[in-house]
Order: sequence, then C-alpha cells, then structure tokens
Amino acid sequence: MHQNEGGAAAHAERNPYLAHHFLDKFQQDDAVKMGMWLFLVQELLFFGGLFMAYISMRFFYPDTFQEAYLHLDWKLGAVNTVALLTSSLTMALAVRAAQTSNKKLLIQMLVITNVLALVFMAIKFTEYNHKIHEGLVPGALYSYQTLDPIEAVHNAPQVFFSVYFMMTGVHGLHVLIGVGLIGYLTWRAMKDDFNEQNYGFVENVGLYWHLVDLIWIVLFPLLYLVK
Amino acid sequence: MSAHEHHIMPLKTYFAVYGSLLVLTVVTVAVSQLGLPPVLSIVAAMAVALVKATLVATWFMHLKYDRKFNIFMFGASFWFMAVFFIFTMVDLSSRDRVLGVTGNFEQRMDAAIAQMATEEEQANLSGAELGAALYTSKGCAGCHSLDGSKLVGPTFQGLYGKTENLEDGSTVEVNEEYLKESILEPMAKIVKDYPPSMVVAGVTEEDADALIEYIKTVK
Repeated sequence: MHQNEGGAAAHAERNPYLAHHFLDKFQQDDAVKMGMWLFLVQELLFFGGLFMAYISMRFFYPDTFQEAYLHLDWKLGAVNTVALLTSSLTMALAVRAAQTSNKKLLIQMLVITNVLALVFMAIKFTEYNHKIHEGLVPGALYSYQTLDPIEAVHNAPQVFFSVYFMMTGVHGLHVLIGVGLIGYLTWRAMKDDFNEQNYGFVENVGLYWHLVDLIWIVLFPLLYLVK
Repeated sequence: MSAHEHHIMPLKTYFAVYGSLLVLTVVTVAVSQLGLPPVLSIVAAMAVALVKATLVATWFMHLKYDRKFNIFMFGASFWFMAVFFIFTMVDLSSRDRVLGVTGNFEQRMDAAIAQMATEEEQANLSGAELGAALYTSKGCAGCHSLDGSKLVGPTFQGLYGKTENLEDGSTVEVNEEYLKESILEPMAKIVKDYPPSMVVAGVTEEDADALIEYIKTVK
C-alpha cells in the first residue's frame, strides 16, 4: 500500500495500523475490543454450564463431594493459584508496557507470563498423572478401590472426578491456547509491532488471560477447598 | 469518550491489586481449614472468589475505564448465569417434594445398592444355605432353637423325621408336607404343650422349601 505512488496524498498519512474498513483507529479499537468482550461473555456462559454441572452433581452426591478433598492436594492448587495470579499481574504490566512503548519490558513481561503458565500446566500434569495412577479417571481407566471405611461407604469418587476432569481439562485447554497466543505476542513484540499507537492486540489477549485467571479463582475453592 | 483516552494506570495500583489477591487467597484457604458446615463453607469460599473476580475485572481487565457498553455486556453474562443457576436449583430442590421421597439422592442410591446386594447374595444361595439365612432374617430364631432347648416353639434339632404329639391328641410324622403346612399356615396343627402363637410374614413357598431343606440339616 505504501509503495503505491499513485495513491492520494491523504492515503500517505493514513495510520499504518488502521484496517481499510474503519474510519479511524479509535473506531477500530472500540470495535475489536467489543468483539473481545462478546467472546468473553460467551466464555463465561460456557463455563457457567460446567459450574451448574458441579452444583447439580454436588446436590445429588453431597457425601461423595465432601469426601473428594481426600484425593486433592490443596497445596498444589494454592501454588497454581499464586502462579496464575502472578501471571495475571505480569500480563497487566505487559499491556502497560505496550501502552508506554516499552518494548524491552513488554517482551520480559510476556515471557514471564508464559513461564508462569507453563508452571501451572506442569503442576496440573503431575496432578493428572497421580490420578491416572490411582485409577481415578472415570471411564475405562477407572479402577479405584479403597480400604478407607469413610470412603468405602460411598465409593463413588468417579462422580466427582467426571466433573473435576471436565472443568480443569477445559480450563487447562484455555491455558494452553493462552500460551500459544502469548508466544505469538512475544514474537510480534520482537518484530517491533506494538507501541502506544498500536497495543489493542496485546490488550485483548490480556483480557483473555485475565478471564482464564478469573475462572481458576472460582475453580480452586470449589474443587480443592470446599469440604 | 473515556475509551478514547489511553488510560494508563499507575504501577502501584497493579501491585496493590495483586497484593489483595494474594491476601484473599490466604483467606480462602484459611477459612476452608476452619471446618465450617458445608453450606457455610461454600458460601464463604464463593464470597471471597467473587471479591477476587471483581478485583481482576475492575483493575487488571480495566473495566473501570472501559466503555459502559462493555461493562453492561459483561454484567449481563453474570445476570444470565444467575437466572440459569437459580431456576435449575429451584427445580433440583423441589423435585423430592413433588415426588414425595425422603432422604437425598445419594442415600436412596446407597439403600438401593445395599438391597440389590442382599438380593443377589440370597439368589446365589441354594436350599439349606438360603434356609439358614432365612432362619435369621425371617425371625425363626426367636422361637425355634437349634440346640434342643425349649423356647416358645419346638426346637429344630432333630425335628425332621420325628413323630410329634398334637394338641388334639393325634400324632403326625414330621415330613416335608407337614413342615410346609406349619410354615405357611401355622395354626393348622398345634404341637402339644406349645402356645398357638406363631406369626409369619413375607415367607414365600420357595422360602418355605429352603427352610425345610435347612431343618433337615439340623441334627
């Protein structure tokens, strides 16, 4: 477009970050951000269905759900909570670095955010691994037997674990998608693509990342803490 | 419009929000260790989670400085979730009352499973073994001993094949036919010196056959 010598003089001053179908950058940023919020709204409603599944299963199997904490280590959940909260902070700082055209800080913050996301996934992986070995995955892999007299009465942890794996699995998938997006942001940042004139994409990935954090904030007490 | 100003928040705001989130995480863990009753524990955990979520949405997601329409959309999703949760919970919690059943679903499941286990156990037993189980479960043991001692009714020890004196002066040989009649119709023939007080409930013809097989083994 810039090589087009035949273009009108007005076009030469056109903001290079402005897509052709928008009047100006403000309109573009507003529209993109509204689209992002609409996406987040459907994400919340989507997770709402899973939360309702938790509530109704808990309603049907109150004793099983109260005993489920025996299988989960709240300390690992707490470490993961701190990891995600910290990554949310670094993501917010990354957006701020983009707003202030601080390229070096932006890249640093994005890298730290992704490292923390990977810490989260690594802990999740060891937790899953442990449960697979215990035979707690519902379905063909389920082989859990207990000698604990409290549990033996209601030996139905698969009911809890169907909900557990569905909720943490879908959440974990969101974390992995976030890792991909933040990695892409890092690459674009290194190419000098973001500055105070153009940080909408960083901001929107940030919104997505905060929502992933927000959902974990609710999941952590529901799955690990409530007895 | 506020969205058109590039609102850049001071760094200390971010760190203050982050610090509050960490403190609230400690609070929610601490509350869960108090051993509160389940309902209270859930309410407390969700209250703290809501405060944390609000902090993240307001400051990290910049909703405070965002367009009002975006705030409205995000708020609307919470409203629709609330509608979804409340109506589903009303349904769940009123079902038992409509159906007129007591105890929660899990307790009813446990009772049904226990019942099935007992029935399966009995179905696997044959003849004398089933009879032995019925001897206890149907309450025979209350009045008929196995060791020859005289309780309310005659002992089962050595009963099969012997000749009983009846109340009306006649005698009868204890065979299958007599035992079956005595189990199913206890008042038909009364043994001398015993009260006509036997009560039977829920004993089928198959149960009677099994009991007879069992009585044959008590010597």
